[in-house]
Amino acid sequence: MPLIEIKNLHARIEDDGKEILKGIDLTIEPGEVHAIMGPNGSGKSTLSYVLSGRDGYEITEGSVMFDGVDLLEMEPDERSRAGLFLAFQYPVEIPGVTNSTFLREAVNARRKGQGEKEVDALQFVKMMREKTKKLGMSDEMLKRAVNFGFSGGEKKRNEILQMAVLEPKFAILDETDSGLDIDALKIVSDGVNSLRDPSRSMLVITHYQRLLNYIVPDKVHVMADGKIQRTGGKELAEELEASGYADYQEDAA
Amino acid sequence: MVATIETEQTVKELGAQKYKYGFVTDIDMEKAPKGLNEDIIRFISAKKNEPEWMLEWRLKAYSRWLDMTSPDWAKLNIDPIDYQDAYYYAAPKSKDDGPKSLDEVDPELLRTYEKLGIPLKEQEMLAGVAVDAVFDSVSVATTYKKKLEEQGIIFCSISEAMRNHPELVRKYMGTVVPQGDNFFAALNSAVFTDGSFVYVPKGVRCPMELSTYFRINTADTGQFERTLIIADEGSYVSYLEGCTAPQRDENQLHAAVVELIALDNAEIKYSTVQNWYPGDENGVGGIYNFVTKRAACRGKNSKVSWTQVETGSAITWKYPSCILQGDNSVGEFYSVAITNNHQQADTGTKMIHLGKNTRSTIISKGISAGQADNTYRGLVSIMPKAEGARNFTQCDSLLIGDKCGAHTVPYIESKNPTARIEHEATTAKISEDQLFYCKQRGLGDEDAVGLIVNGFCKEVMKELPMEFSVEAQKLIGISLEGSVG
Amino acid sequence: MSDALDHFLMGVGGAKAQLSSPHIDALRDRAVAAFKATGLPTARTEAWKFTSAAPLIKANAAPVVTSADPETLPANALAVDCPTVVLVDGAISETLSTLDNLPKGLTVRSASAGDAGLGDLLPLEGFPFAALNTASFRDAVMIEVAAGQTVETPVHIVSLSTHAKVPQISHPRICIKVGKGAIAAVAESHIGEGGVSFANVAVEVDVADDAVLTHVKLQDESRDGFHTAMTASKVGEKATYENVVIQMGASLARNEIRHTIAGSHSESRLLGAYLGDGDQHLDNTTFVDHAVADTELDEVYKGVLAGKARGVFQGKILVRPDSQRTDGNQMSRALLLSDKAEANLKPELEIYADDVKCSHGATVGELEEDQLFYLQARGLSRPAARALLVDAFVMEIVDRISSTSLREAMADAVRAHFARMFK
Repeated sequence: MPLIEIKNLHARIEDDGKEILKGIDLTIEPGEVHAIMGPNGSGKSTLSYVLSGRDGYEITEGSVMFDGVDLLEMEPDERSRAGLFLAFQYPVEIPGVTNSTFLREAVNARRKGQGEKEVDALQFVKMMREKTKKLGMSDEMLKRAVNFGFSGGEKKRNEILQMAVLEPKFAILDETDSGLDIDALKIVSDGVNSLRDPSRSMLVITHYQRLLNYIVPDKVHVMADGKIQRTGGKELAEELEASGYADYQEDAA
Repeated sequence: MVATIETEQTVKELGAQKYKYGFVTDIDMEKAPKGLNEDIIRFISAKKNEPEWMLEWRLKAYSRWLDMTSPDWAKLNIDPIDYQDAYYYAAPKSKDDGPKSLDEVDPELLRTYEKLGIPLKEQEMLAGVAVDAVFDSVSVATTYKKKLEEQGIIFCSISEAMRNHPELVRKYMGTVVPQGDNFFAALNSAVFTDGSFVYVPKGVRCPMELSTYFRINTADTGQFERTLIIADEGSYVSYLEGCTAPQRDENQLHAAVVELIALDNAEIKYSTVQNWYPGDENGVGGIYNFVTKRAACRGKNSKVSWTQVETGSAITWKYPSCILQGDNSVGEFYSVAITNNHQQADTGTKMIHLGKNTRSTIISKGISAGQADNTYRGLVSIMPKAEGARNFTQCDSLLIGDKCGAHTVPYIESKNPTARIEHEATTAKISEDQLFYCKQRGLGDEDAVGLIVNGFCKEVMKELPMEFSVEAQKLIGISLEGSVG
Repeated sequence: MSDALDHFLMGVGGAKAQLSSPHIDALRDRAVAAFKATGLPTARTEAWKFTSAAPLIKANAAPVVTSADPETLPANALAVDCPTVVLVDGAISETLSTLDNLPKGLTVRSASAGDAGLGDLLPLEGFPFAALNTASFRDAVMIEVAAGQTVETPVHIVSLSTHAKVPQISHPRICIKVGKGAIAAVAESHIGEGGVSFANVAVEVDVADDAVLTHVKLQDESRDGFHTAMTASKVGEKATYENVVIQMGASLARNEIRHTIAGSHSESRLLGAYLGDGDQHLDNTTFVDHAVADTELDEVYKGVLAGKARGVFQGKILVRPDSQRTDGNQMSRALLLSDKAEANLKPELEIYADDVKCSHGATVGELEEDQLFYLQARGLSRPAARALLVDAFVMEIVDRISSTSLREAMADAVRAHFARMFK
C-alpha cells in the first residue's frame, strides 16, 4: 500500500477563488524520497499547506489517502498525530514558549492520541539529549523560545530537530534550503539524511537543484501551473538546472 | 524545568472542565440581618469581641462612606449595587469562640477546603505553606501557627490579632490605606469581618510561604476581608492569596483592603491567584471584585513585589500599589489579567516615588477574549525629591477574537530631571500562523492557545512561587476555554 | 461658573454682526448650546487632568471687536516665501495678506465668500473651546485645493494676536479642504505682539481620497499669552495626512488634535515638539480614531522642558471594532532639563479589533550622561554639548516635515528659539 496517494487534487484560495492546484496526481511508497521542483508560483507551497490542512484553501476535487485513511477529512493536529510533518518554509516564532516545552507538548499529544503513556520529565530530557547529539546540535537550543530570535539557519535546523523528535511517517520539507548558506545547507541535509528510514517517506519541495545534491531523491517531479508536468529520476533535476523552467511555464503565463 | 513539566501536564488535564470550584458547602451559618447601618456594624464588632476603639474606627469609616460615591472613572459597566441587599456577616455556626484547634473545626469545612485543594489537617498539609482559611466572613483555621511562633512570627486572623496584639494593629492599620481612601476602602473599613495578619520580626526570614485562602460560600453575602502584613527591619516574607466562590446567578460583592508595610531592608512578596466565580458565558452572575491593595516601602532598601494572576470575577477593580518612601526602595508589579465572555477588568498599579534612588518595575499582560474588556490603568509618579528614581513599564495586550477590547491607560508624572521613566505598550493577537504551527505539531486548539498564552505571560508567571505557578498556568488555559474555534 | 460662561459668550453678538449666513448662524446656535451644556473644564475633567483651565478663565479676556492692522508683523512667524493670509485677531487682513499669485488649483478666501463645509468636522459637545470658537469666530480662512492638483508652493496662514491694554480673546478659524488626488502643503504661524492675549483657534482639515497634505504649525505666541487650539482632521482612502506641531510660545497653551482615519490604506503622521522654559505650560492632546480597516498611524511627540516649565502629552488611539489590520504606533519622549521642570504623559490605547499592531512608548528623563561626556571628551563645552543634544532631539521631528521650504523654515524657527533659550 502506498503511504500517500494524491488523486486529481484541485484546490483554490478561499478568499479570491483563484485555483492553484489543478489536478495533482502523486503516489509515494513507504521509504521513498520524492522531490517536487518548480518555478515560483507553481503551487508547490500550496500543496504542502493543503496536505497539512491549513485554513484558507478549498479543495474542489480529488482525494488524498494517507496510510489508508482520508487525509482531507482530518484536522491539522490530527494529521500531525497521524504522522504527517511539515517543515515550514517560514518557521513561526512563539515568544515565551521554550522549544523543550513545545516539543514535549507535541510528543505527548501524539502519545496520548495513540493511547500511550506520556513521557515524564527525565525520559524526555534523555530523549532530547540523544536527538540533539545525533543531529550534531547543541541542546542550548531547547531552552530558547520557539524560533524566537533565531537566525534563518537556526530556524531550519530547529525544524529538522522537531522532525527527529516527532518521528513522522511522512515529512514534507517546504523550501528547506531557502535562505541557507552552503554550510547550513550541509548541516540541515545531513540531519534529513540521518532520518531517512525504510518506513519514512519524504517530499522535498525546492526551487533549486542544489539541495538535491545533498538529499538524493528517488523520484523528481516538475510542477508548474498547479500540475505535475513531468516525472523522472534524480537526473531530471540536473537537466532542469541546465535548462531552467522555461519549457513548463507557458501555461502558467 | 520541573515547573514547566508539571505545567504541561496540567495544561493537558484541562479537557472540558469549567469552573470547578462552583459547588456550595451546605453548612449551618449564622448571619447578621441583611443591610448596612450602624447597628450591623455594632453587631459585627460585638460578634468579634472587639475593643471599643475598633468599633469607633469602624463607625468613623462608615460615616465617611455615607458621604462618598462609587468611583466612575474605570472603564467598567456596572449595574448599580444595592448595598442594603446583602449580608455583611456570615459565619459557620460553631462554638462561641471559634475553634481552638483544627480538631474542633467542622469536618464539613475541612472537606470543603480539601475539595479546593487546600488540605488543612496538619498531616496532609502542603509542605512549606502555612494557610489561613477564610470562609465567608471569618477565619476558620490557621495552620502551622506554632511552628511560626517559635521564630516570633505572628500569623493569625486579624480578629485574633486585634485581641492578642492590639498595639501592632493600632499602630499600623489604616496607615497605608486610610479609612476614607476611596469608596470601597471606606466600606471595607466599616464592615470588614476578618482577614489575615502577619508580623515578621526584625531580621527573621519567614521559613515558609504564608497563605490565605478566601472562600465565599453563602448566597447574598459580601466578603470584606482586611489583610495587614508588617515586615520589620531586615525581614522577609512571601505571602500567597487564593480565592474561589460558588457558581451563582446573582452578583456577589468582594471588597477587600490589603496593607503592606516594609521597614528598613525588609522584603514582602505578595502573590495572588484570583479565581472568583466569573459568571457564565452570558455574563450572568459572578463576583464584583473591588480591592484596594497598597504597600508602603517605609524603610530604606525595602522591597515589595506584587504578583497577580487575575482570571476570575465578573468585575475586577484593583490597583496594587507601592509608595516608595525609603531611599533605594523597590516596588514591583507583575500582572496577568485574563477576561473572557463578559468579564471586565480594570487593573494596574500606582508607583509613587518619594525617596532617592527608588526603583519600580511594572510588567502587565492583559488577555481579552469573548466579549470581554480588559484595561490596564497605571500611574508612575516621580516626586521632586526622588533623585535618581527609575521606572520601567511594559504593558502587553493580547486579543483573542474581534468582539473584545484591550485598553492601556498609563499616567506618567515626573517632577525630577534625574529620574528615568520608560514605558512600552503593545497590542497583538495570537496569529493564525502560530496556531497552525502548533496544530501541525499535533496540539489541539485549546492546548495551542493555552501554550501560546502561557508563553505570552511568561515574564509574570516566573515570578509566582512554585506552589502557585502550576495552578495559575492551568487556570490560564481554563479561563480561555471556548475562546477559539 | 455660569458667570464665566456668559462672559466667554460676550463676543457672539459682535461676531454675528461681522459674519453671518444661514449656515453659520445655525452653527453658532448649536455651538452656544454645546458650550453651555459642556461647561468649562474643572479639576475633575479627565481630558484636562494635567492642564488647569483656571488661568484661561481668570484672564477674564474681553472679546475682540475690531483691531487695526499693524504696520508690520512680528518677525517670528515661519519665514516662507509663499502665498500668505494674515489673520489679525481672527479677522483676515486684506493689506497684510499676499494672495495675488495663487498657484493653479488653490483657492483662499474668507468664509463670507462661501462657507460650504465650515463646521463639518469640528466637534462641539464636550469641547468647550472648540464650541466657543464656533460661536464667536469673526471670520474664517477657507482654503481649497482642487481635485487632482499638485500645488508645490505651500500656503501660509499667519495668525496674529495684537497687544491690547486689557486681555482680549480672539477666535481664529481655518478650514482646509484638499480635493481627491490633490497634493498640497499648509503652514500656520501663531504669533503675538505681546501682552496678555488669548487666541482660541479652530482648524478643520478634510483630506479627500488619494490626496496628500502636509500641515505644519508653529505656535510662538507672546510669552504672556494663552493659546488653545483644536484641529479636527479627516483623511480619506489611500490619502496621506502629515501634521507637525511645534509649540514654543505662550504662557499656557493647549494644542488638541482629533484625527479621524476614515479611509482604508491611508497614512497618518502626527508629529510634534514642545519646547518650554520659564513658567510655560504646554499641553499636547491628540485623539486618533481608526474608523476603518487597513490604516497606518505614526505618531511621535517630544518635549524639552527647562526652567519651571510643565509639558503635557496625552495621546489616545482608538481602534474601532472591524478596524482590522490597523498599524498604529505612538512614541512620546520628554527631556527634563531642570529641577523644577515637570512632564506629564498619558498615552492611551483603546482597542476593539484583534488583528492589529498597536504600540505606544513613553520615556521621561534627562540627557544621557555618557553622550554628554563623549561630546565633552571631543572638546565641546558642557553647555554646547547640551545644546547640541537637545537640538538633535527636536530636529528628529522637524526633519520629518515633507515640504522642504517648511522644514527649513521650521528648523530656523526652532534654532532661533534655542539660541534664546540656551544663550
